Amino acid sequence: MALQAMQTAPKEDLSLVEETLAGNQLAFQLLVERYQGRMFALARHYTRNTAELEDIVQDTFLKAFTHLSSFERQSSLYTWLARIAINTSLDFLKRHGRSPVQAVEDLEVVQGFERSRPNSHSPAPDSRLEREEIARITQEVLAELPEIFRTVLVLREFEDLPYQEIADILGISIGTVESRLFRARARFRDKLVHLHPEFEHGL
Amino acid sequence: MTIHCNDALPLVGSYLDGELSEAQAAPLRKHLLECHVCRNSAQDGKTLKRWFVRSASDELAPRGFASRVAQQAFAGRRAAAVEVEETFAPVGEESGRVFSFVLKLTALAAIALFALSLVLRFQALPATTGLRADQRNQPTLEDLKRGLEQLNAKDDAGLVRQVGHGEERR
Ligand SMILES: [Zn+2]
Repeated sequence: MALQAMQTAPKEDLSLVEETLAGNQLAFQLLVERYQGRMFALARHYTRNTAELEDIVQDTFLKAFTHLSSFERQSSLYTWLARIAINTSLDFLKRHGRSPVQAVEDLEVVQGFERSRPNSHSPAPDSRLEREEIARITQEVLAELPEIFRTVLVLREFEDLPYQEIADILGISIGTVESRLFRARARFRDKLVHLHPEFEHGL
Repeated sequence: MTIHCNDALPLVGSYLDGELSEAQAAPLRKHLLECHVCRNSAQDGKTLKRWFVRSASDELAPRGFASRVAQQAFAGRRAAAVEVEETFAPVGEESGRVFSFVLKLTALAAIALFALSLVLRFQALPATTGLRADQRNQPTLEDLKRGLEQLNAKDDAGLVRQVGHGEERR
């Protein structure tokens, strides 16, 4: 579904942007309708509180509206909106004293690549688990990760974005996306085993 | 061309993500056929991906959300876009921090003064009258509470405190 939106959107997106800029309120409403689902899904990784969530996504679209004329038409509207949504979410957490754990790029990157833990095993989701249950556990684990790891995993695994697009959204290089994902996956695996040792050895 | 584990392992993640060119992927595929250590690592990466499933409700938006937002956008609430610099900088960039700190300090001071004005007015008025009539245009009590919580949390807002003490003594 996400892919479909990405492939067919650009042309229609542009005309909706043009019409919004020309003062057509309905065009903007259609634009919001087109992306609200993905923005809610994105922001849900930063808060599960319904009211806060709505505030964040609303803010995202209002900021987008205010700055619509500065939207670079070469980049995808989704990328642009996602960047605003992530910034708005993080800013919201900061303002409410819930700054997500920050992690800095450090030696771990290099060491991580070298060690690569070929022997570590990823726990497998039990085949008896319902899809919703898997999703819940994954959310629980993600919420425990430092924000930079959570964000990169969300963009890659849920949003299904190519590295280049993740790099654009986060303002980092593709190499950094790569190494950050590598670390993020290792952290996710560790945290999963820690929180749910029952999955460690598969079924 | 053959590659060894040290070159192969770091590529496995990108390979599974479909990010390798054919020129990079071909020798890796060959290595994976020959090396069970790297093959396990690839299998492991695939297993991990199985955890990332979306909840059916993830993309749900409240009913009427888009029309409300569009209405608000066109109602001339453009000023609502706060902290533009921070919003549009790539995530994590440092620029605009100082500016935004000053903005926040100013905002805190404004909240403090507003809170005080409300407090003073409530004290001057006989009990509960006057509150209801004003609610439409005033920030809600929830906003006020949030503002006050922020104030409490900010130890460095000494400026605000000084103003506060001065007003209290009057
Ligand atoms: Zn190998």
